[in-house]
Amino acid sequence: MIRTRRPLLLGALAACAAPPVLSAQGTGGWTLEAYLAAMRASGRETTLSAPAFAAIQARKTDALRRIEAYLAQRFGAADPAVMRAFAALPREYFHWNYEARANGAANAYESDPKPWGLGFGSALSDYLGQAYMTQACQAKPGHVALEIGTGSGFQAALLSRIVARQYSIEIIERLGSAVGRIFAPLGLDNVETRVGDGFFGWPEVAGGFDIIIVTCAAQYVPPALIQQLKPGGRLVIPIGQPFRRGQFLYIYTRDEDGRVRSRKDVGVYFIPMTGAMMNRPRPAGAGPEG
Amino acid sequence: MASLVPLFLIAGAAVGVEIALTRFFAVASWSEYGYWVISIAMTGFAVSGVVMVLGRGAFLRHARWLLPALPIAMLAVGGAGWIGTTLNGFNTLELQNPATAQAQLANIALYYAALFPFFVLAGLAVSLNFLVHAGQVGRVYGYDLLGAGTGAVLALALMFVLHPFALVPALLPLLAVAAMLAGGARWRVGALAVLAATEAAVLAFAAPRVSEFKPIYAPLNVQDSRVVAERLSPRGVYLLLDNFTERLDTDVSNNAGAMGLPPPPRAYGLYRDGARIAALPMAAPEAAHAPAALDAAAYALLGAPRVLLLGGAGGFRAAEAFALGARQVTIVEPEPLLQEALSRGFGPSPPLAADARLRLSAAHPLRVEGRFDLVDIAGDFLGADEQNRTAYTAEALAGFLARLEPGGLLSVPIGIRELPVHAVRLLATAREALRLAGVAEPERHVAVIRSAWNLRVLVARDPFTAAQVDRLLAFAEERSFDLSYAPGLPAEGREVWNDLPPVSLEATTVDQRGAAQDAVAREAALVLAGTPPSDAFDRSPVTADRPFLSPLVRLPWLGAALKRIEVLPQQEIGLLVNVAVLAQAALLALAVALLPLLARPALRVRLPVLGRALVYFPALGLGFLLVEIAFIEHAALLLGDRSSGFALVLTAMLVFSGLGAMWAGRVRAPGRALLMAVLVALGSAGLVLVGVRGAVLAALDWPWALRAALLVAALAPLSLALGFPFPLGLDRFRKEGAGLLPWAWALNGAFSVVATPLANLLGHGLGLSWLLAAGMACYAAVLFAWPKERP
Repeated sequence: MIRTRRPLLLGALAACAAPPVLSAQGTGGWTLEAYLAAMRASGRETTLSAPAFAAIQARKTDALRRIEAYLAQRFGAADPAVMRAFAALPREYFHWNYEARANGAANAYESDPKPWGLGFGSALSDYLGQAYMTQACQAKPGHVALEIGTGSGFQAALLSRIVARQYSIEIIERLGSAVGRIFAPLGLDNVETRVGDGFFGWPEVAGGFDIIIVTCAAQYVPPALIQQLKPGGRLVIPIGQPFRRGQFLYIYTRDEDGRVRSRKDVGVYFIPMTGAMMNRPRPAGAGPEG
Repeated sequence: MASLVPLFLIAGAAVGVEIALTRFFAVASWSEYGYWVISIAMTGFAVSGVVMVLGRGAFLRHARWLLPALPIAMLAVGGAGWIGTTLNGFNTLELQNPATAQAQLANIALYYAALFPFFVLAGLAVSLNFLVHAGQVGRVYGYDLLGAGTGAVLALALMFVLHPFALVPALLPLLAVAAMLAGGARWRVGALAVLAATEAAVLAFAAPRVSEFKPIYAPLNVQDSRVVAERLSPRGVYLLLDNFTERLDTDVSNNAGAMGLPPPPRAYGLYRDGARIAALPMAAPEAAHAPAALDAAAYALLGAPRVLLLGGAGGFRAAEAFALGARQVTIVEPEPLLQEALSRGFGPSPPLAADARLRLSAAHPLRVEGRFDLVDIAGDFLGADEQNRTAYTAEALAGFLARLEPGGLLSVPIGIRELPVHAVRLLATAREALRLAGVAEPERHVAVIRSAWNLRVLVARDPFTAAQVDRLLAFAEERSFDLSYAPGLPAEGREVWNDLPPVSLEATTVDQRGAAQDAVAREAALVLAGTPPSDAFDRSPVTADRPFLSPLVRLPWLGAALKRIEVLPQQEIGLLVNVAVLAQAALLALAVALLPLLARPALRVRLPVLGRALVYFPALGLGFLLVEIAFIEHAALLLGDRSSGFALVLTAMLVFSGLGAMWAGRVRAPGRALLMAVLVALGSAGLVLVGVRGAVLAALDWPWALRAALLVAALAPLSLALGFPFPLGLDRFRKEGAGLLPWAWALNGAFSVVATPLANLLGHGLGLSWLLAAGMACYAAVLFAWPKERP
């Protein structure tokens, strides 16, 4: 495993540039009162016992360790910006079933990470998969990001802790209008959401996006999204049903001449080979690797 | 002589509810899980037989009030079971994740709990009738089978007028009538009261809904979404939607914007049972996007071709073909509603505009006539209809090749978004098709072009020239497509626009540090040379005897598949479900078979007779279903869809074997009758084995009624003969020991449960002819297990 200094340098830069974490909560940090107040402010009045809240915070440390080890195994090293984003966000705040209006906070930071249904056909992906996706986006502090398919809002929240501005569109009105209210109470003031058709992207944002994430059911990528991708930007499309353990990621980039390339990232299922240890069986008769 | 009409009604209700439940699962969940219902039903019947074995005396003593009470109980339990089934929060997607699967297994157990009692009671009611009328086994069996057949027909008929969610409540009243006929005035009042209470409860509490994770959910729930047309049929519930997410869904290049071409146009979305099968045009179909599509690859090699389109995509395909330079287009659209949409329109979507260059053919894809420069299969063809996979067999592709003029091409699409190995299997099939067509060097007649998510295999009548390969390369480069294989192109070392790493079940690591890879390119050369890689995935050609693209995972690799289940696409999960059901069924069958050891005193039979019964009745249970399932597959192709194939085969087999059973009740020399029956069965099955493919092909263009008549004519003598062994056996073994009657019933039922998943595995894994052969072997075993005449 080769540790380069690049992620450490970038991490240091990110630490200087990252927006203040949960500043709206005040100096007290993330307490049960803060949680309940934020839930109320987001239109999701609820109750939670003090022991349950404490248990969640206790599990969070283990979960963060798990995420770090997972990312290190797959990428060589965990991106410090991604780790800081996870640390800054209270995942229990996002465990809410919008259709049943039921609180799932007790499920947060489970030791066996799994996806959770949120109602309206949406799911909160398992936190390891979300960590992978976030690091695969290669987000940087000055970036502008767009997400089509807000869902739980957790992915948008994660990226918003790293990039300068995060935009998110949800096509299902009842879900999108409810989730649109959850960012401000947490102090995530660089997130802008809307409900509607994501096919045309967000043309009002001049200059386009460095990162675009879209959940795509169609056979083709909406051309407006390709067009709104900045040169050097990454368009990430997770493929696979939402309850699988992780998904294939198709990552699209544009050449200088405008032609689009795609990479299929299978890192969630297959650990990258390290050094000379090639234990992938070759098809019989195949020549040397190209 | 007590009436057997209640039995007729009970059998009808049981089968009707069974079929209604499979439709419920198809609409609310996914259809693969519908056949669990059949498994649950059979399990219920088997267990009822066990109960009857152990409690025979008690049941007979109380038969007078049990006969009307059982259908009333079925009514109440059926209603409650239906409510429980609709309220079950089963999410099949979670089965694919080991972390969430456990909870879903619990939900599956809840399905069993909800539906099991209904089928146990049904089995008890039927076998009680057998006990009470022990002297007329043939007549009883006949009423049972005829009732079942009628129930199937009734359920099918209702599917034309009722939504699947209303079917079960609509069938429950049959049970009330059965109770009223079986008992006196008090029972009549009771039956009506329970019926009223049950239907009221169903109305109040049952909440069937379409799973929120089916593709139709989001489009239905965006703003301003409207359902602009609806059609109910046994094939499925069709909905035509108008909302902002609906567009023609075809794979267009990501460079389309740079090429100055517009995206695919807005359209109506046509959904069947919650899955999208096509886009229908809102007005005259536009095709300005066509030059950017992967579909356009074949047209780049041809000038003004005469085109055969398989799959019309509501009229868009024809517009695309003309936009790409076709001079004449023939459309073959096997899906009946899509056919209707083309010829007459559907809802607000208009029909095909009249055009001298355009012809809508009514022929079946396997019976198309004429000569063409291009046979172009639509990208959504496989998804539009379950039977369309029969166009992907080597024999079918060879048939299309035979329709090509010199220089002609066949263009076959397949999705590679999840597993690229599907494409490799298609290549193996193409190679086999070329071999069947008499081509000496198949590798010179194939080109493979792909995007990130879809792939097209171009199969040429004449070898590809270097100029053609250059034109394909230029076409691909401009659109960021990849030419994974063409004769004369090096497999490695070329630029890859769309990285496609290999997905394997054995490896847990991947090398993605270097340049983009092309897993298809690597394997294409091997497959076309006839030396495919050998691993967990089955790359053998799809043939007419085994017309299935899935499962890809080979059975011996089941363990690896379970460990890496998250890597597999949803259709592969069906194989695993089959094996799980088979394991459970086999355990149950074993338990039932060993039951006499517990109940030996109750049965009072000699060991050799027990042994013979242990072969006779299981072989019957297995054999009947193996033959039935083989016929259902052939019928699905002959009639064009699985539901009518299933229904017609089921009804015909039940009715004719019912008649056979009644006849068997009147024979004077049972041993001889059995011999004749088995010989007739073996003879007809043998004929079918040899001649079915030719007969089905020849009949594909006949009117539906004639095809149905052919199917019934083929089934009648066979089913008539198959009706003999069970009643003859019941009667013969009953003379050895009265307690054998319910045990025989239980054995038959338990092994029927084993038969369904076994048949699926055999059919998909080995081929349909093996199914029929296995069925024949079972009936031969029956002959040998017939007890010798008593001295």
